[in-house]
Amino acid sequence: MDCKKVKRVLSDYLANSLNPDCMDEVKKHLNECKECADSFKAVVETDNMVQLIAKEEPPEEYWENYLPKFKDKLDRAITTQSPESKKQFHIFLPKFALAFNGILILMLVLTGGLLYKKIQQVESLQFALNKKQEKTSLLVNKEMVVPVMASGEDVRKSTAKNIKLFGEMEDMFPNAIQWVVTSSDQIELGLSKNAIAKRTDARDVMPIFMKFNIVKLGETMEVVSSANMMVLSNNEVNTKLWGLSEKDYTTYRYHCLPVLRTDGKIDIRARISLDDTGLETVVTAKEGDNIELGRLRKGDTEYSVYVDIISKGLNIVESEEEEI
Amino acid sequence: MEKEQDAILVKRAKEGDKDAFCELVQRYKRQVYFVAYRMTNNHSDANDLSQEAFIRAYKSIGNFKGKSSFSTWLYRIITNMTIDYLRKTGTKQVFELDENMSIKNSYYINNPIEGCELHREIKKAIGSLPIKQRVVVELSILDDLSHKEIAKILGCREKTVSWHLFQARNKLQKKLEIYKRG
Repeated sequence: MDCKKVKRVLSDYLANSLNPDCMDEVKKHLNECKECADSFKAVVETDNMVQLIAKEEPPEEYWENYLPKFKDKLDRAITTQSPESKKQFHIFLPKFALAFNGILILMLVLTGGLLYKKIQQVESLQFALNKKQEKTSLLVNKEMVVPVMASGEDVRKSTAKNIKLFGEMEDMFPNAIQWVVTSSDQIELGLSKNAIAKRTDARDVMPIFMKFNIVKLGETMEVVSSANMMVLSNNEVNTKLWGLSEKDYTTYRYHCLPVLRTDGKIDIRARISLDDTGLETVVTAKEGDNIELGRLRKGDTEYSVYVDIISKGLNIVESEEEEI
Repeated sequence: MEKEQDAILVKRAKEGDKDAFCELVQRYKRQVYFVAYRMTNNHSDANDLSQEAFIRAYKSIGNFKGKSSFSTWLYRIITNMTIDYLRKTGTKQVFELDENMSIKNSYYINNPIEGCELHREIKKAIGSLPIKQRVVVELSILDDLSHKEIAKILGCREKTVSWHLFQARNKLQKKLEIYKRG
């Protein structure tokens, strides 16, 4: 067995997954070849380093409470599966209603300090509403993932706590509503509905739900960035989202201005960039469409940008609100 | 022996015995939780994902044919769920130690500053790997599963597992070279 092959099978050798003859052959080679022996040593050292992270442990009481909590969850899961409860689910929560409910809550939060009753479980956030300005802002009092569209200065800053709000909405639009911010960041949620009304003199703004994907092309297609958006049509509101890839902190920017046409179709002017490369395009789409906006190239890699028009329309019903 | 006991519990769970399933949860909660934790680096996500994985396992235990071991089946569920989750929430990656966690290792206790930095860099190095390679590192190096078991979990050939691991180790080696202690 030559050095190249030995180096290639070191992982299998370590896992003891070679056949006995091969195991002996590699062992013999490692005893005789210093270069390969060093490579083997380096692999073992790296493994040992990686194993250091296995020393993280949650508190002991977490394990003690794990099963009781699971039993509760299981009971709830079984209950919601029963035919009767399923029926109720459909009556009160039609298609997209879960997401809309969450968005409704968000919209009402944006509406000059009114809070929908269902938001009562949100205890950790302090809303600092500035009625004098058009912008509604949220003051974060501790590190957390904020479930809103935000424009934090540096989303790379880490978070220690993941507080899940608007759970239903999160399921439908995971990226649009999770932003990592740090202590005392002031985050722009967007404009309040009153502010929109002032600007456009139109209270019947139409949200459009879209999903953007940047797909790395090649032998194996891979989604490298994904952004879900709720955009108010015909308004340059909440049109910016930017994210970081999970791998290399590449910055992806999504700008989008949809215009709802009288025939129900949507003209989307989009500007998507990936670090310093970008594309700008105008497409016409309708609900349910999944279309390629264009392609991007960074170095040797080519990316394809897709948009998925999930849904449009939401009636904002101002009920069951209460002042903060 | 363990597998035989699992088989008995699975059989009872299939017949609707919730306690038998809870016994299986008690047995595998750590493995399932840590697959999710090491890939998300977030205690809260790992907790949700692991509990959700058990719920999913409970609901679909009727489909478990026993071709692989119960633990392999569970690993497959939690691994797929975590990969899906990571793909959906691609904008988020945290390398700091989660505030709910503590490190039980004498090196970190004796060298808190260097220890934390090293810890973060190791996580960053693992986090920089493509998802499939990260999963293979997790299952092979941290959970000590055989290539055969990993292949069953990921639904691929053993050679593919070896290849992912080979690639992952090369990358990790380069990234962690400067942190190796003499």
